[in-house]
Amino acid sequence: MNRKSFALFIMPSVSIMTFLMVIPLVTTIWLSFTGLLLRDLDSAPFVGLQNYREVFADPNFWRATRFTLVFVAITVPIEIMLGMTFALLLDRVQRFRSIYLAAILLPFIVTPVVGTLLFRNLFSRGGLLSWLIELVTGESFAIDASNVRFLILLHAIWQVTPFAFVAIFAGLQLLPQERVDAAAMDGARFWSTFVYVILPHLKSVLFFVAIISIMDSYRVFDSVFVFAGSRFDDSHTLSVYNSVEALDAKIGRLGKGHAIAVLTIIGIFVALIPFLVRSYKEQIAERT
Amino acid sequence: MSLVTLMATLSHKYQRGQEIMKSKNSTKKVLALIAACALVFGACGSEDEAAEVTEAPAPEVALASEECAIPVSEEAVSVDVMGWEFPIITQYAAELKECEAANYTFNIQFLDSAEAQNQINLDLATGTPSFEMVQGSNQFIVELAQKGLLLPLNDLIDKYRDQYGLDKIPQGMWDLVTVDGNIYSVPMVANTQHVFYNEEILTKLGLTVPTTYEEAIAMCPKLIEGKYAGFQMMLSADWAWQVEYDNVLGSMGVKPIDNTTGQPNFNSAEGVKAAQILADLASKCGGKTMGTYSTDDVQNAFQTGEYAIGHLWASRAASMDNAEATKAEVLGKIQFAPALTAGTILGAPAYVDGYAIPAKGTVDAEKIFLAILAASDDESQAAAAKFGGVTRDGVSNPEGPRNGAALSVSTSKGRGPDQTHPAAGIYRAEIGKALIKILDGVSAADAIAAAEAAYIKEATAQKLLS
Amino acid sequence: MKSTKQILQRVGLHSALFVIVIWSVLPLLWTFQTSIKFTRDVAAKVPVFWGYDTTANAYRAYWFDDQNTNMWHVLFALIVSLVFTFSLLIAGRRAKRSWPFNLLALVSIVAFLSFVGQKFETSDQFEFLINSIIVTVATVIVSISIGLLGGYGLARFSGKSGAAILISALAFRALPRFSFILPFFIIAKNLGLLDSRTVIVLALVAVNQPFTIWMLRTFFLEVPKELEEAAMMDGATRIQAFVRVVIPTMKPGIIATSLFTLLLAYNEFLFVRVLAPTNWTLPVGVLALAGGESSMGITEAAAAAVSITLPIVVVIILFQKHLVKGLGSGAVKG
Repeated sequence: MNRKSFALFIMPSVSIMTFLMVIPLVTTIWLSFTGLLLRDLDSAPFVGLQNYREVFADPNFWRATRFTLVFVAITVPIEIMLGMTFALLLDRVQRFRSIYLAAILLPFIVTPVVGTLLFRNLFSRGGLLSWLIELVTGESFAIDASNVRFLILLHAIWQVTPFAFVAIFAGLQLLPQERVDAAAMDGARFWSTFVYVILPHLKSVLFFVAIISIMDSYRVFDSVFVFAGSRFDDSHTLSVYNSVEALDAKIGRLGKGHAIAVLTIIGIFVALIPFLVRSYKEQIAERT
Repeated sequence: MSLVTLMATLSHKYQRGQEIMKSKNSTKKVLALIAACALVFGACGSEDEAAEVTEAPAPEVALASEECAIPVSEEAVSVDVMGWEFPIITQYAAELKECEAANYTFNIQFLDSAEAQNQINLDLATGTPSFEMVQGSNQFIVELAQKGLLLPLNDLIDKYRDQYGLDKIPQGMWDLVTVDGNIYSVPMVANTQHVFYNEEILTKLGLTVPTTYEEAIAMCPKLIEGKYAGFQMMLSADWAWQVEYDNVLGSMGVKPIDNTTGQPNFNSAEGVKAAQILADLASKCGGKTMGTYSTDDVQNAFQTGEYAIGHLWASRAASMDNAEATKAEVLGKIQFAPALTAGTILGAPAYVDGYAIPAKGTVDAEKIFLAILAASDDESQAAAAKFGGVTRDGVSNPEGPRNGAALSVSTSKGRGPDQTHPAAGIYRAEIGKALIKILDGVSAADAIAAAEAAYIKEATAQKLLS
Repeated sequence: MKSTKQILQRVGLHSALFVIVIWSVLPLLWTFQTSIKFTRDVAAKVPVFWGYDTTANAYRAYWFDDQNTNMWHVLFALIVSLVFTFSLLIAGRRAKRSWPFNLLALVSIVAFLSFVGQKFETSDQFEFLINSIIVTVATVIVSISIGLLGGYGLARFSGKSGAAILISALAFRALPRFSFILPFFIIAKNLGLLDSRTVIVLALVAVNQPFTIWMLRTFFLEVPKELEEAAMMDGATRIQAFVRVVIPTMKPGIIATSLFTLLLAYNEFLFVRVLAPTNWTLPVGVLALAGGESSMGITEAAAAAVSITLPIVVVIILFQKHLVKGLGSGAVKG
């Protein structure tokens, strides 16, 4: 395809992305240097780096960053391992496959806000799991500061694992059965087959899942917002902290909110740059 | 008034006047004479009035229906409402919806109280509000009014005062939603907090209803021994801590901040003592539930017999008689008593809830106001009285909640409404945020000190202290 | 005859999968159970597993304003319309040309919704459902249309700028919502689009573009170049070849990508909350019931959760094979 055709085809997409992503991003960066407040949307005085200084001095920011990093570090590996396990198991069965598939996909399909409510329901008053925990530990159970983080992580794993599962499962479908059989005939046991045949085949799937999962868990908002609310503000991730600083009527510091957004973006990219560089090199290699 | 209408009215009155004159009853004649004079004078003076509104109930203007006693609007009026929901508000929302017969359409949205306040603030701050009506408590309405976000309703209130009997709402309640002489809402819900208790359980354990916080804390060991929760309060949200703290402090006769200067009073001996009372309640009586149960959870806990006694919103009293939500063995056993005290004043707030109109709205404010009037008239309040306290004198509902006495005592002898100093909103935000940390182990004194520091910092930054 | 070892293996596998299914589905099941109970049975300290009175009160409170609505009538109307829709869809599959049947099925769903809207006094949540449907369908249509063009271009063009655009798109996908919200707000306000469904659709299309063009590109790569080259040699322009020859082979890819877009649009929360304060979609509407301060509380929240989840679950069950295929291609090649 020549350059001119390409430009025509790509134009709608690129225009939308430029006007509705690049320009807003630039606006955000600019706003992070102003002292915009929610209660006075008309004046945006330039304040230089003051917002950034405020953010770095804010202990809530560091707490939110720490929790977000913990969130990513725990959710992504576990999600991939569980997804892999589920996929390998489902790959082995033929009967009821579509039922199993639909059921395992469910947490991923459910609206995050709703899913959080569903999950929380199990642990709140009269919930099934809170009752079971009380039976086991003998003490009454309630969601409080000591267990809310664990529950948030558990819910995140519950919600995101199906994504890893279905991607890996799809990848497994493309693995020719002969290779697995050949390994079995050579006397390899499951673990060796797994490491030497299956994993290499799934390399690009895992890469894909990892990069998307890291991106998404870093930015997670809906579920933490509903779960932690205003009660557990030391279990806020960066995006919830961001939303509270900017949009909560009692604080409403929009300039600072945008500084937080900019810092979040920088944080994501520090983690992603290696992946992005590698992807770019792959793309170039494909074309030459 | 148009000329035609004037002529028609006069001719009708003339005919009627003839009939009365012919009657033997002289009182009637005198009255009719006075009425005729008034009419003539009144008609002459009202040349400038808009054609839609008539002075006396004239048969020309069609009221939409019994339930929605306002004129049918010529153009369709679309009203978006934002507020926070509790049982009586649901009924008022239904009352609003009855005005769909008057060519209105309503879109009534709810969030929980903190989020609703955020949403309303965000929406009104933009200068082009999407909501035509907001619903809130007097404390919230005053905050919005002080920021210049609400429309003063004095003219409209005066205009419709007689027609809709607005004087039936006590002046004290109007004052709660008045700032600098401007009235911003029509109060329709009267709410406070007071003691709820399960008579059967208390009798079984040999306990009496406490009147002071000390007595309440003292009864907790026996309650916990009997496998019930101790004296409970809803303290799982920072605004809840603020309300209860103001209750305790107010019952000692102390106002949190100075009403003129805004300087904080709460970092004092009484202030710390008040916080300590709440801390003791949380540690000795709270168990796992005081910091985690929402208002709905507390209500349910009473309804299922988990709670024996506690402090709860008056608006939740009606649900104690709801057979679907209350366990059979608890039905009818829940009684009500006035709020606790740490001095002579009762630790109960005074809240009224009502609808208000944003200042920069685009829809005709009068039409919106008429809808508010329809939703808060005698008939609507009588229906709402089934679910909680209403504002009109003499309006009640035989199926209403049984906490009338507790509600009125708590309100009249209570610590009164939240303060209206411009910096009071900041105080409320900071005190709640700081005090809720008591649940995480912070001491009462530290929490108060942190609240004071944060309050002074923010109030000074906004130049509200003097 | 299978050996004992093999049977045990089978049993073990299915048991493990059963446990996984329970783990996945339990919250929804438990919440469904909550939604059909009376509050007095829900809020008990010890959960009531059976023997409770069931009621459709929660659903009635959520969907209808008139508390005397007969829920049996509603159920009847729902079943009738579902049967009708499904028979149309099956007829479509049997017949050669399925699109008139699919269209009729769509029309019947719309007819059912307006029938319910008028015959029963529906609550505002019903309006939110309509908003959700409109926003979702519009987002999918616009997003896929633009994405098809972009994905095709990126698949066929071998210059470096293509790679740059792809990687930038990936980078954009990583951005948090908050980098866009306020600028969107400002843009929408100046264009007078604030608080409309249009602004939501635009925002979602924009934010979803990176993923869409990546995914569609992967599918386009599987379509051999020869296909359109043959058509072009026969005299068609590239655009004509694109529309008449390439797109029809892309059906599975289009469906897979549409499903992901559908999911994203239906589940969106933050954009709707900030940019469309009075035109809520279902997920935002449910937030009112999440705070523990509402009227009916926990049972209504449960009914809301189940009601919101059901449509999307049905859609995904119908199309799950496409979802798997879509991720497979995207992931392996991506």
